[in-house]
Amino acid sequence: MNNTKAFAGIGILFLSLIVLSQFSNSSLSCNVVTTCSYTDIFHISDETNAHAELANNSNYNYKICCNDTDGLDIGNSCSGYYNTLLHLSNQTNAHAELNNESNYNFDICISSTDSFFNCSYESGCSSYETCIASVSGSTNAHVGNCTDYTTKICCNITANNTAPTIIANATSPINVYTNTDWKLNLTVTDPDSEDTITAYAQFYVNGTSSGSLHSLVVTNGTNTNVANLLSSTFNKGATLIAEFWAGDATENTTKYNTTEVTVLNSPPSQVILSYPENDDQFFTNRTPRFNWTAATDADNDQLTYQIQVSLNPDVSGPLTNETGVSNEYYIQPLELDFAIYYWKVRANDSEEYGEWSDIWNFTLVPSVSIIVTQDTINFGTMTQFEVNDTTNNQPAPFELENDGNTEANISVNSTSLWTSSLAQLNTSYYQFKADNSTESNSFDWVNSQIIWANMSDFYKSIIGTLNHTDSKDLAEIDIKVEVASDEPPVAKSAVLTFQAEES
Amino acid sequence: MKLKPILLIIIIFVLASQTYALGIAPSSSDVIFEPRLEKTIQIKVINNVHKDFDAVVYAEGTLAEYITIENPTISLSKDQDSKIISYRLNLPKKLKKQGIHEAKIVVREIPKKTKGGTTITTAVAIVSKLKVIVPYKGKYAEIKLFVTNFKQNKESNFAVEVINLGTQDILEAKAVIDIYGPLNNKLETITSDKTSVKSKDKEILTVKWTPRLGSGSYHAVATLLYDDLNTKDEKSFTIGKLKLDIVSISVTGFKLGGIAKFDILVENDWNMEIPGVYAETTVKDDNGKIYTQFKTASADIPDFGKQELNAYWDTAKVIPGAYKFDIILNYLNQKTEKVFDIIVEYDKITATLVGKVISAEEEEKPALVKSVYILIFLVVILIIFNIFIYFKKIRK
Repeated sequence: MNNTKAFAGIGILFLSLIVLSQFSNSSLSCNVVTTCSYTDIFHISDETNAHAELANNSNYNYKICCNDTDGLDIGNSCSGYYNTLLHLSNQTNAHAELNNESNYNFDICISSTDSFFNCSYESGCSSYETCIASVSGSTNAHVGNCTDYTTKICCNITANNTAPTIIANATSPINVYTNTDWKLNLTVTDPDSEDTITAYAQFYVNGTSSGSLHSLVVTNGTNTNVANLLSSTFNKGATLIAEFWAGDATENTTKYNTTEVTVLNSPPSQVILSYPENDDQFFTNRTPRFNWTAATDADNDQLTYQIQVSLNPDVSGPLTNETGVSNEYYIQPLELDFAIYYWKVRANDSEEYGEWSDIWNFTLVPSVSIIVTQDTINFGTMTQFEVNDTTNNQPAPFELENDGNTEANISVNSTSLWTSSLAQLNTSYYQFKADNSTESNSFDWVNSQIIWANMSDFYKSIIGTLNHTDSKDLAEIDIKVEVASDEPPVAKSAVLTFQAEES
Repeated sequence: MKLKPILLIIIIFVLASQTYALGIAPSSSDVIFEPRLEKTIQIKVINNVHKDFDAVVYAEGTLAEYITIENPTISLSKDQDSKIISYRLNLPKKLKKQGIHEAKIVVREIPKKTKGGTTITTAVAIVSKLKVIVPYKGKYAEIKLFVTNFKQNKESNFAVEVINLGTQDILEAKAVIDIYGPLNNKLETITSDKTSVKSKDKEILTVKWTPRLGSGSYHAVATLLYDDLNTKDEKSFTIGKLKLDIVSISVTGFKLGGIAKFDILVENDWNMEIPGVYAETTVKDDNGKIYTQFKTASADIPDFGKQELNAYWDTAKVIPGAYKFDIILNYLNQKTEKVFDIIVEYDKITATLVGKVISAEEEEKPALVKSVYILIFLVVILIIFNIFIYFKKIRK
């Protein structure tokens, strides 16, 4: 409670100061003189206990002479903006009465063409008032200077108010999007330097008022951001207008409208690429799935994408130029050739494109990769003169799959299988050949070893041009073994090596 | 407890049938010769079946003496997809023969221990070729043609990569691309802008083209004309996408209870005959109940032509009504599917593609509805007849 009172007290004091400040600069000055260089209000027969006469008479030497130090106009006319100070019983040699009496017909007035007076009878004029003269009573009274009687004629002059003027208005930004607030700036001037200027704004979206009236106290002559229309209050295509005016607590300007603006389409955001990774020097997928992260759109428009893939670092002359891609990926439909590729993507919201992504590159390199589907062929225990091979699938042959991205030639060698001198390598006791697998036509039949050939310790070609496409990249390698007559009956083993290289 | 031996057997079986695999990239690299060139080249060893293995790395071939392998033995664990290895190339001041000199960088897996019996165990070795090209005296260029999957009436580009493997600069080069149809008939010729190519340098020539040809496979032959010399490269390419369309189905001469013969008209918008096309058809009702399935005979659909496939349906136990006729066309590892609504009546079957609006003239009441009307009519007649008989008996 104490705090509340304290705040209230401070508030009242503050307001009082404001009010006082409005009057403390009273620029009216009135004196009893014998020669008046300013405005002659009326005359008195002496400085004290005097009779009075109107200013247009010349019987008395003492003149109530007023001027305004700020140069405001002061007159003694009883028309226009004026105050009646006293009534006189006659034009001259007259008694006076207060202006709320009605016994006399001759008025003493103080007037102005550019300001107004506020006059009253007081026992003493306040600091913001100027004493004109004093009177002895309410009627049939004598007049004297301000020190003569207790009833003083106190006046204060205030210049007439001039309405403020809006000298500049501007909205920003020039192009309005759904993710940008719309700002109104005003510059207001008021010749009444003491006036408090308030600027007002009311926004309209599609002709309907949006939000409450905005008001802001602005500095005289200063460009001020008066109000903002939040982007959340309008959509793409909406028309925006701001109605604005200003006031000085006495008078308002007329109301004005800004130029209508239409909320523009916001282009989609820049796309960020994700795969193939930038600057991958060992990229091997010839039908890559180009991935990127989804762009955003301030208007929530449905987005499609454009992708360009080129051999040129600036992505000019693209080999791939796909528009209308509805996913955040694009799968290369045909195999790319080996080269360095540069690619970029941008989003489209059906009205316009967003900015291109950064340009990424990858180096598509040939790759040879071989899978042997089993690591061992075991013919079991074999006896003298026994012959066995894998053509009947007992045991199963080796199967070779080209898992690379280019055609491969396969050659084979082996360590010695038999200990017999008759059955060393390069003899018919240990042979090989290539054959079709379940994926026929996987290799170049003519340039492959499709009839039995003797195994050797140096590489011999077995398959020419093994395809790499998934449905045709599998070949069988048959092995044939024969036990020589002098082969000792112990376990035998050999290591066979398949060597693969690019065709 | 009895599960343990079984589990052990399974594990042994899995291990015994382990696959062997190894990959390398790039499987070939080109270097243009420069005297005393020193260069470190990286290759990627790919562990494509994710297993633990050791391998030796060595160089062989005529350039082997100029190659130093940084790590002659490598190990990869099953958690590693790949490993980058390097070798250093230190070329001599001069290589006598101009043209290609080759070395092989071999990565050979070290085989595991062999097993008992008469066993042959495999190991895999892979090769990355290094081609050092000594520039040819004078002017010599090689080109590589890049094609794309063109679309009808949409501009796209051919690209021709020009490598100057000669000792002299090429002052003026342009690419001329001839486009051939399936019968090797030249259809169009397009030309690139001119360019110059410095010795040992590379340029990309782009040739814009808007195909006005039908969908299909074509062949492009690029010829680089340079300073009174020329060289060629060629590639096949496609315009559009291979796809067969089911144009319509119709049934003629139908009587309910007999065999309905569906004529399925298939259109080929490709510039080559599509061989071995067949359809798999299924008749079902709205609830998914299948009434019949049929596989048609294969047919070859001519280029830019149409061909009928015939499917049959024994309607002996079929009641009139609405059904769905599902057709899946099979051709060149592709499929095209269409579903038709069919209305079976006593003397005809009409078909409409699912989703297609039936025109006013075509709009008829379904046979089933018709049948219901007929039945109601017959029942009413019977009731009247019975009432008539009843009153007649009463009178008697």
